Amino acid sequence: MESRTVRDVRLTLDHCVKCNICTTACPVAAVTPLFPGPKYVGPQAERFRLELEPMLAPEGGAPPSPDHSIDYCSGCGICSQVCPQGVKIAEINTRARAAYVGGQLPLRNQLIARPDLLGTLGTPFAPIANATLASPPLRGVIEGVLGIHAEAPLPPFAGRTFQQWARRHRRVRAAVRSVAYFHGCSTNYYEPGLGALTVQVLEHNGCRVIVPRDQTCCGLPLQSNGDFQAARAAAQRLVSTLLPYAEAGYDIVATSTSCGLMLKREYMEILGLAGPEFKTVSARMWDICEYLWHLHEQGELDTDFQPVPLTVPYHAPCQQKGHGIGKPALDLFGLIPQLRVVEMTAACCGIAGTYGLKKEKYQIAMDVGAPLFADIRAAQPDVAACDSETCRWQITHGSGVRAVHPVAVLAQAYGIADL
Amino acid sequence: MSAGYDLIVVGAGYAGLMAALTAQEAGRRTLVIATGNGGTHLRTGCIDVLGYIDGKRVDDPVRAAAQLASARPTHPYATTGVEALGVALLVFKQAMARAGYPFEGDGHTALLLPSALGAARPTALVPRTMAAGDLRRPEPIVVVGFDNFKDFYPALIAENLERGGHRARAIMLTAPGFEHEADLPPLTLARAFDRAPFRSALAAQLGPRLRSGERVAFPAVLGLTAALEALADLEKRLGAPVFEIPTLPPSIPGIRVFNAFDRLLRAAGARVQIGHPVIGFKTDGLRVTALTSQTAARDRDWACDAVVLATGGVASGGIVVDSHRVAREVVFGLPVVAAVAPPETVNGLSAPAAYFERPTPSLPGLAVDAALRPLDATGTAAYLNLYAAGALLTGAEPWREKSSEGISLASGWRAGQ
Ligand SMILES: Cc1cc2nc3c(=O)[nH]c(=O)nc-3n(C[C@H](O)[C@H](O)[C@H](O)COP(=O)(O)OP(=O)(O)OC[C@H]3O[C@@H](n4cnc5c(N)ncnc54)[C@H](O)[C@@H]3O)c2cc1C
Ligand code: SF4
Ligand code: SF4
Repeated sequence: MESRTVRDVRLTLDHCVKCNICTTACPVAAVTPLFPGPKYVGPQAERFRLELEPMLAPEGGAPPSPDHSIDYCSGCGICSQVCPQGVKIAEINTRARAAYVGGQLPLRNQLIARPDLLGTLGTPFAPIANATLASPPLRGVIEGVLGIHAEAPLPPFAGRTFQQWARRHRRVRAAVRSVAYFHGCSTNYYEPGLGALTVQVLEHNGCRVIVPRDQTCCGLPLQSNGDFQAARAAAQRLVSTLLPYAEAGYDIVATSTSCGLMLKREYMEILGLAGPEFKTVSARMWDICEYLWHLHEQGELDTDFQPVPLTVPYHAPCQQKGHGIGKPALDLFGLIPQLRVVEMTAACCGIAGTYGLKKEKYQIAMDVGAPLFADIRAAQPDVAACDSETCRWQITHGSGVRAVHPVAVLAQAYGIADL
Repeated sequence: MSAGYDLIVVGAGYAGLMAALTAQEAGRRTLVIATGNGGTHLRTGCIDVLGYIDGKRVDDPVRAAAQLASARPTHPYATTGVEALGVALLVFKQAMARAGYPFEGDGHTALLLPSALGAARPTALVPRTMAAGDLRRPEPIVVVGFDNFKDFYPALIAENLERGGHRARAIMLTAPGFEHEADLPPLTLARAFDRAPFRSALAAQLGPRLRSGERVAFPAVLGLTAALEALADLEKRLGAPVFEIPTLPPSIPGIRVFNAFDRLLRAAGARVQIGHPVIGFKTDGLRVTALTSQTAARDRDWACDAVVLATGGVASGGIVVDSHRVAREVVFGLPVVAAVAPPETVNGLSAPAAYFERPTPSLPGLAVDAALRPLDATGTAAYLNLYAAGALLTGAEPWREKSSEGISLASGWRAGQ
């Protein structure tokens, strides 16, 4: 049976007044005729999914989707944000895609949906794996066999994990509060340096940072590729790792904004997980910039920033906007002397997690991101800032400008490490 | 620096955007927070000020607004003052010009433009892309439509224009490059018009079918980001004046206005946060001290010194009417006046026509004091620092008066002061 939350999400479709505002904002419908837009595949088609369910659903199985174009929705969530009637279009789409896929993921999607497995396998063989990923002929073979586009931005393995760094790290400052840090797969296997900066920025502000061991994948890639069963298992695993910290009253900060959103909301709203442990953990989750700005609102952030005389375009990724927390990265940047920040107005970079890696969707993703890439280049930046890892890789790939997490800018302003 | 905002504007329609721009450009730290997009995306993209008084068309919208204001002291124009209307129109025009999307008209001449059905529609300011459509101009009109764009019927428009005494004819084309698409969304066409190759293919089809001295009407999809360029380019290629006629929502001209506001606001340092409704507030009894919104994990307070409420009327969810016809303002629970009277019924069903023809004025809305502060049940300002603007205000009949944007801009500008 579906949970109350999931039913509530579904029933928002009755609020649709067919104004098409969502379609005007959808970045995918804007660039490809393969996708008619959120109103059509969301509230409109969902009506038929509901109608058909009792008649056509196979025994215990999912109802068929009347519209195969659902696969082209990237899940960016912009439609849900602009809908004036509160229809949860993107959430409806994600669930419909899972029903459409029916748990039968092609091999490629199974692979790219398991970053922790890839990380565990790739890290010990980083030099070989990275050489493979950097080699155009080999990438051509991968594209042919697996369907991962040869030019898609795949990050290199760091070769050592953030967990290894955290185990050796010794805190030097006294602490007035404790937080747990959920680093996510990408920080662990691809960007351990970001994890180190995060720990140091938090310590700089009087936090004792605990890095729970055995942090597994949050399940987002599985969810967005439509394997809800495996995604739910991943969710259960991660939440049981974080639950003791939440129960002990620790705030849990995340640097991966989309994974943090899973823990805050999507487990309940999309995967339909109803156990009390999910609520307990959700209530303790903070995006890193949200947390730091929260400290500032309490008057507890060290605002003794050194000047950072750089030009930095900032792109708030779609999933960051889904948090509904405003743009705390911009607020924090506003405290740094001489930093010139340009807020980007383009909606989406296109990558949407694993979407833009796929052979058949790579060009769509690049077209979606084109206005953002152009605006970033036009800002003549020193470096770009963005809260989400896959978006950073896509921005660097599409614009040629290196993209960093906002924490890296703060770290420079605190004199911890230069950009 | 304090962590709060000087002003929070709730709502991102014409009223909210105008209030926010006014405040931010006066140096106040401003946050716009809205459930979703507002009337910009639904309406024509023109600025109606006042089209009719008691069913009679007006010639000078701003002067007529002054007459209306003195005849009806509860009308929003009476509260904002007509000076505010004049200034707001000027500020709006200047803002749009700075954003590269200029408007024409001065507010003192009623412009007469063809509607999506070919009727004459009075308005006060129009984007340059619609200016050549003024029906007081003599040139005959060719209405061009696309058989793969279903929301615009050139033959119907031309016929109605003829009936209104204007020379007009229709041409139906197939949008080049989309021959296999049966039903194009307006935004797809608008993006196509942004591109020079599309315009040149179109002009090659259309040019030979034009007669000298005609002007050319298109559905209002002439470009999303490069509308001015598209207009100039088409006029050059066709050798004729070109203009847009508004279509069904979503409104491309309105989206251009929203995008222009959005760019100006962000460039001035305001925050624009769309996608998250305000669900509550904090008060010290006299003043609103913070607004509460729902985030993915928990409710969050946004501290502020003042609030402009521009959540629109019943159509936008700023006011909800329950099945007992009791109206409620959603954020502060403010008393709503002129609530919907029980409509006449026909065969036991309510008759919308009867509702719209009723002599009693006004949609349900908020009563405000001279400073635009909504009144509580005792008739005094509910909070010292809470202001209301736009369709939320009671006392107007925007659909009949054709006054929607004028009221929103004037009250938005006043509230943003
Ligand atoms: C489908 C539709 C068709 C319409 N057609 C016509 C027409 O043909 N002719 C006509 O004259 N008028 C029409 N209207 C009405 C017209 O849109 C309004 O009169 C006009 O837009 C009012 O402008 P505004 O700025 O006051 O409010 P709006 O433009 O309505 O903006 C309200 C804003 O407030 C936000 N909001 C609402 N509640 C909250 C909350 N709790 N927290 C945060 N934000 C909130 C909304 O998301 C929105 O951004 C139509 C409206 C709709 C919905
Ligand atoms: S924006 Fe919302 S109400 Fe409008 S068509 Fe889309 S889902 Fe429906
Ligand atoms: S989630 Fe993004 S891609 Fe999918 S329908 Fe909504 S706006 Fe379009």
